[in-house]
Amino acid sequence: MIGFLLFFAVSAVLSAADPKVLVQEVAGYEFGGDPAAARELEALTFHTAGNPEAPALEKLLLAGLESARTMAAKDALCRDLAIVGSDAAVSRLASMLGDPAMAEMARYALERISGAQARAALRGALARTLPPVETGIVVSLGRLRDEASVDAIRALLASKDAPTAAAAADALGKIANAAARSALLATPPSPAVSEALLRLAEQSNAADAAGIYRRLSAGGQSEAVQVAALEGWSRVDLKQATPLLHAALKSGSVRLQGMAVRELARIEGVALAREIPNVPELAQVQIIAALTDSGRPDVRPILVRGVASESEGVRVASLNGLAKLGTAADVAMLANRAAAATGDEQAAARAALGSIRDGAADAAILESLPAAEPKAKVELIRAVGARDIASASDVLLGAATNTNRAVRLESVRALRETAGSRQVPALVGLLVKASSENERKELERTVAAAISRSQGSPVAEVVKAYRSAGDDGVRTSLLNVMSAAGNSEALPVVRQALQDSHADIQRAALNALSAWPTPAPLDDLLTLARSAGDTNRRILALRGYIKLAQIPTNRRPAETAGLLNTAMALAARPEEKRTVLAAVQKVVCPESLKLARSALQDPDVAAEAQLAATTLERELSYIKK
Amino acid sequence: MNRRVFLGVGAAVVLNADVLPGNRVTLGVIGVGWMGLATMKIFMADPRVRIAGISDIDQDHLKEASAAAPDARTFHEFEELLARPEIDAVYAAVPDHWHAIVAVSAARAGKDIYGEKPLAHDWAEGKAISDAVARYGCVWQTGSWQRSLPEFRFACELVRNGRIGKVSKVEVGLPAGLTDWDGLGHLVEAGPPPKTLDWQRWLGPAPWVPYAAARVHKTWRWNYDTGGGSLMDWVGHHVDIAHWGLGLDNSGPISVEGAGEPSPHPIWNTPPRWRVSARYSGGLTMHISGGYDDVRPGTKWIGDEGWVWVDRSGIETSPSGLLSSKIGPNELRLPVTASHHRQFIDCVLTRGETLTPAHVALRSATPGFLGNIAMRTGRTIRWDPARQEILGDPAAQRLLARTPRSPWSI
Repeated sequence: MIGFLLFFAVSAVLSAADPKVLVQEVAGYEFGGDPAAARELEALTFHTAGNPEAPALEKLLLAGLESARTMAAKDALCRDLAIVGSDAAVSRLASMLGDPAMAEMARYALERISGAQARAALRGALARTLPPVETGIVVSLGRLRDEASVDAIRALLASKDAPTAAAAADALGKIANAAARSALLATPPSPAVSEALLRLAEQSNAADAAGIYRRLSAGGQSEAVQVAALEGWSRVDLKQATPLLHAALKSGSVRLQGMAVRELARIEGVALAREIPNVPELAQVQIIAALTDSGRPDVRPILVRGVASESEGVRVASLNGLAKLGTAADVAMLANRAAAATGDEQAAARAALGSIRDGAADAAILESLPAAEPKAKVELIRAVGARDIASASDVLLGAATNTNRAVRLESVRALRETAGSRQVPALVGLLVKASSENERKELERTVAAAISRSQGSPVAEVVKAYRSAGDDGVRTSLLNVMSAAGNSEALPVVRQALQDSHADIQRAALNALSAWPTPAPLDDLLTLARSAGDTNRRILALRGYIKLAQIPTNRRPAETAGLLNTAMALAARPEEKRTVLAAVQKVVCPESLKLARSALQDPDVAAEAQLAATTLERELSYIKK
Repeated sequence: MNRRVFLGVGAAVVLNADVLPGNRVTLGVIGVGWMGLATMKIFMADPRVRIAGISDIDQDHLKEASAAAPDARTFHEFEELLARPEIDAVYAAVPDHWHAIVAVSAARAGKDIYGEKPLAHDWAEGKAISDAVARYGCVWQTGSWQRSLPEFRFACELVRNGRIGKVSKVEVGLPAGLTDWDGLGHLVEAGPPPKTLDWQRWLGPAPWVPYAAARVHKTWRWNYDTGGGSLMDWVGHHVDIAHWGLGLDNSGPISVEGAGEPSPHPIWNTPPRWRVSARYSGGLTMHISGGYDDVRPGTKWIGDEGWVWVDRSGIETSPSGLLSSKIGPNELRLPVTASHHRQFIDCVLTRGETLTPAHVALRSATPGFLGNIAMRTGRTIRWDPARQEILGDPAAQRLLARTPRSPWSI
């Protein structure tokens, strides 16, 4: 496909392009005018670059510069020379450097051409130009790493024009030869000179680099430069830099501390932990995080000690570290900490319990469960769910009947992550016997999760329990489970419930249909929306219909738009009309646009209709020509 | 590999800096137009953040932002904001052609930076940002905030942990270009700029052209001098996610080809619709399309055991059961962040590495940079991802960097 398009594009260009004619047409080009000739010439130039036809095209472009009548034309031709130009173009471009109106466009091309002649031309223009043209030339010579310019650029370090002086420092930092280095070292410090020296150091041998870093680490430099210099120094001369790094740990500067911690962790590893008692709290946290990041198992004892720190920040950092480096031996401690702590510390302890990578951790959690105090038991159960320990489902089922309510609830929540078809009958049994509505609601979600995880989403146990249940609360929960499972076997049961003698069950059935995960009950809801005796039921059914119409299927967008159109016709209130208009925006097709536009005349929803129409117009414009 | 290895933090949970002492960050905002103002308000919702300065060269933007942050000092030029010692970090929401200058200047000034995507206007500028951030030890977060959304993270974890087998193809669907959000696209004639806009400064390092309303404020994206079309507008989102899902944060393609439809607009010269194909070592191909309805918006990894698709509207998989797959503690888990912007502030305080550091953003943007070069030259671009250079095509190599207008230097 790409190949076809490429071929099409190239053919289209080349078949239309007589370069001579294009150059003539470009001669009068204006900014904002018809770009066709300029763009075609640019495309031709791109395709010709590097090919044998390039010199001939370059010649035409140079001739075009002579006959160009507008600045835009000269600009376009110079851009093309930047692509395809060679030494043959240098002289003409160099002659433009003296004209401030054209110097920039010429410089762009010369810099791209970049050969010895181009560099000589730029160099030669330095002496006869002033800022900002002179400044730009210095920039280009630096970018070209032109060593022959060093003497001329060195003189500009003292320029009274600040941008030129900065450009000179920057250029010397890029050229980076011995002469550039001497020039920069001899210059009074400034941000530009310091930056250039840092760049120079990065390209120098260790001894030269150390000299530069030592100088920049002295007083009088910005904190940013000091941070960069000290870090660079530690990379080339450990012996000299290490005492300064240790001093930086205690400096009180977040940036210096952070850099020092990073470097010392790299250099000293676990030994850095000896500094923890001696440094500010933030640095302690940074040390713990850096050591954690090393991934070394010998960091673990430091983390375990850190969990007992007086500083909450240190405790949290240590717990976060144990998420990566903890072992099965830490399970009991983490559970107790999660049980006792609050806020971020509790979250970190829980995350650690859920993340420990030790292969023995799952077994350690299950072994700790029976004897754990209730609060710690809750945390261990939570970890079972987080770790998705499937083999724990039967243990959790046992815990789900614990006398302690928190343990029961946490077990039910954990089973939501681990239970499968085998546990469904027991879970349904627990739901039917649940001692509170809160627990029943939790079990509802767990049973639904277990069913959805099971092949075929089996609902036989749920239907059986529903048929024999007498309590309306239980029956409602079971209808909700059937809805969450979305198994078509349950649909007749739910439909029958619409006619139940209890109004609560009728309503629960309607809600169950509205929450169905597939569009299967669409027709049921439509019938209710049209003909239910009660206004509220008609509204609820209509809302459910609108929701189910949006469930992704193989249906064509136009068909979905048709369903929403039906809903719109039934909507008596602005609320439901707005819901339809919000939904139709996502169904990108002309039929949706027609629906949106039809609502523009309704004053209650005109604003929403306008938004929907505008959104659809834009989306449709993306996909059609 | 970035030579400055930042502090990382634990496995799946990024250190929450709320508990840390001195947990205040003073933020400056550079560029308070469309994205800048909206994101500034997100930062303002973090109780640790104080907006101390805002800068824009459009006085109307500055006025509106100042009303939203009345305690912040206002500046015309960003250099004045960067010179303020009380400012710890900056959020930069300037057009693409300004990204590198603002970012490098901020790094030199010792500020941490939240920079909008794409990382930069071209590859060389992106490299300059990455180098400067490393040199000065700055915390950098790219505005590739999809990495902080759970569905994108989960999608990437499914792919990274082999749930769909070996991935041979990725499809990335992006919007078309040339959207005329404010209906100013017809205003192409050269004329004097509004008195409230500093046009010379707005142009900055881009080549001089006369002012026309169609060039600025959102639609700068559609001209190669200031943007990179819808490819570069979105590469920092869906291609970034594609890379994250494949573990390619330190790698890149080995060849890229592309074709775009020509733009009829007098000023907007990026293609309205386009296709780019990037090949990676090991046989993987990424197809990135803009504006075609045969590729679904978002990112879709296709493996030999299924596929995963993700977008801001959701996640789908085949087999569908993968949606309830759990990523175990012994599998690869990607960092969890509650909020991309909040994580930046966390890392400013802890000096940790963010989810989207500059060197990763450079890799995410590279298929875009090369895609545009491929489209403009009509050639397949061969790329060495280790040395990060174009192979055997000096003319294309020239397009990796543009010359900044004087007096700017990058």
